[in-house]
Amino acid sequence: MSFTRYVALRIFQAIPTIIGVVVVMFILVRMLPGDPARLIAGPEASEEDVRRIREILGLNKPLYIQFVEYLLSLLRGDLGLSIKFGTPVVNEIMSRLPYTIILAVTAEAIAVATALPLGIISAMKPQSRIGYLSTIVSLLGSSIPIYWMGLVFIAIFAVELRLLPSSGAESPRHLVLPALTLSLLLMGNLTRITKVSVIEALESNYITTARAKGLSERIVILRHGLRNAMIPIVTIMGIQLGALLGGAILTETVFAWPGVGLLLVDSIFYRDYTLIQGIVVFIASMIVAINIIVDVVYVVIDPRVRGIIWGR
Amino acid sequence: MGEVSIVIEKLREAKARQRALLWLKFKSNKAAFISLCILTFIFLLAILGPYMVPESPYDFNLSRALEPPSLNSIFGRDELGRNILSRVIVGSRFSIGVALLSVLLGGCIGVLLGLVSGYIGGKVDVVIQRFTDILLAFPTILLAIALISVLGVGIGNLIVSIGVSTVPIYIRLSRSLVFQIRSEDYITAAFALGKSGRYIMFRHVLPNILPAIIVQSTYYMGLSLLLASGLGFLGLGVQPPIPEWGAMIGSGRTYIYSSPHVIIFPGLFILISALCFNLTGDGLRDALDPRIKVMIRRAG
Repeated sequence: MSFTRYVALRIFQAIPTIIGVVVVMFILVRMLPGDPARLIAGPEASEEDVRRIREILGLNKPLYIQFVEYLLSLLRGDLGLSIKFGTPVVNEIMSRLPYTIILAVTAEAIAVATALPLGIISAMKPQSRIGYLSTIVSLLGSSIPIYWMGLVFIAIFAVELRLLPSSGAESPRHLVLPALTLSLLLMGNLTRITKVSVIEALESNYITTARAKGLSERIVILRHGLRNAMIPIVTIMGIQLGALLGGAILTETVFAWPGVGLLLVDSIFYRDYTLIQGIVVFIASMIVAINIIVDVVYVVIDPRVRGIIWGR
Repeated sequence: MGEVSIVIEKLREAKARQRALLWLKFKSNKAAFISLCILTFIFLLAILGPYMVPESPYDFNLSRALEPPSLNSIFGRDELGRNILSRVIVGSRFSIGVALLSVLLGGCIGVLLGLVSGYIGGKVDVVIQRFTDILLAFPTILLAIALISVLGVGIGNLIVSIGVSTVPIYIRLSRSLVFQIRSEDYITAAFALGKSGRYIMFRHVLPNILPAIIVQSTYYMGLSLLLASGLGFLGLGVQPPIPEWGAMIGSGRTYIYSSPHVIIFPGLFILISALCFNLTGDGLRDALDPRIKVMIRRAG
C-alpha cells in the first residue's frame, strides 16, 4: 500500500466516526427541555417573533431535514450562530483556540521535559532516589484533582509568595501556573510509560550487541535504547490528547484562561446550546483528526510498522 | 458418582487455598494494605458519617465564617461558618457514592456490550465497535459535561452521565478480555456439549473475565471520583448546599486569597481516596493469579 493510499484510507475510516459524533450531539441537543427558539427570543418576545425565529433556524422542518442541513452546513465549516453572542460559533471557537493550543503545548512540553529524564533515570536505577520520585510522580499523576492543585498553586505562588499572577492571559507569566497544573495530568503516565519502555528496550538483543561492541553505556542508552523506546512514548502522547483537552476545561476555569474549555463552561451557564454543540463537535473532530496524524507519524518513524503496511 | 464429588471437593479446596494465598500476597504489599484500610475507613465514614459528625454540616453561623482550623473545629469553617470537618465527613457519602454507583452503572452496561461484542462477533461486533469509536472520540469529561448539560444537574443525572461516559472504556476492556479466552478448551467443551450461546456467555465467559474487570474497576473508581468531583467543582455536579467534596472546592475557591483552608481539606480527601483506589488496584493486580495479570496487560 502506498503512503498516500494509507493516509486516504485512515481519513476514509474516520468519516463514520465523525458523522457519529455529529449524530450523538444532534440528538442530545434536540433532547433538551424547552424550545430553543423561545430561548433565543427571550421571555418577553411575542409568539409571532418566536415563530419567525423558528422559521429562520429551520426548526419547523422535519428532524431528518434539519439533520441533513446541519451536516451540509458543517461541511461548509459553519457551526451555526451562538445564541448568547449572535456571532458565528466558528468565530467564537477560533478566537479562543490559540489560547488552548498555547496552554496544551506548554503543558505537554513541561510534562515531557520532566517525565523523560525521570523515566530514563529510574529505568536505569530503580532503587535510587529518582526512582522513588518517579514512582510518586506516576502515582500522583492519576490521583490528583488538578483543579484543586491549581488552586493550591494560586494560594502558594500568587497569594503567599506573590511571584506569579493567578488569572488572566495578559503576559507569558500568566501561562506558568496553568501550564504547570495541566502538565501534572500528563506527567504521571508519561513517566511510567517512559520507564517501562526504556526497561523493555534495554532488555532487547540489539542493546546487548551494542554493549558487546564496547560502546559506552551513555551511547548505548541514548542512541540505541531511547530511540526505540520513543515509539510507545510518542503513541502515548497522542492518546493523551483527549485527557489534555479534557483537563484544559478544568484548568482554564481555575485560572480564567480564555481558551475553548472556559468558553464551553461559560456556554453551559448561558444555556447557549448551539455553542455547546459546536464546541463538542469541534473538539471531538479535532481528536479524531490528530489520532490520524499520530497513526501516520507512527508509520513514518517505525520501519517495522512501515514494513507491515507497505509490503516491503 | 462418588469420584465426581471427591473431585469437586478437591477443586473447592484448591479454590479456597487460592483465595487465602491471594489475601496473603495482598497483605504483604504494605502500600496496598494500608490503602485498603484507609478506603474501608472512608467507606465507613460514608455510611455512618451523618450519625457521628460533631455538628450538622448544614448549620451556618455567619459570625464564625472562614474561621481557620482550631481545636474547636479542626478543619476550620467555611464561608457560611459551617464546620468543614462535618461537611467533609458527610460529603464522603456523596463523592464516594456517586463514584461507586456510576462505576456499577457504566460497568454493567459496558461489560454486557463488550461480552456480546466479543463473543458473538460478526455484524453485532462491528456495530458495537463503531459505537465505541464514536464515544471514545470524546474526552471522558467532555462527554460527561455534554450529557449533564442536556440532562440537567442532579445527583441521579450525574451518576448517569459519568456512568455512560465510562461505558466505552468497559466495552473495550471486556471485549479484548473475551477475545483472549474465547478459544480456550472449556469454552469449546461447553459448546460441544450443546450449551446455548447465552449460557456459555454468562456461565463460562463472564466468570472468567470478571476478576480482571474487578481489578480494573478499582482504578475506574478513582477515575469516576475525580470526574464527579471535577463536575462538582464546575458547578455541574452535586449542587450546594450538599457537601460533595468537588462542589465544596468550587464554592470555596473565591476565598482562597484569605482562607485557603476552605479548599485544602476536601481536596486532600479526593486526593487520598483516588490514591488509595489506585494503590489497592495495584495490590490486587499483583496478588492475583499471574494468568489474570497477563490478561489485563494484553487488554491494555
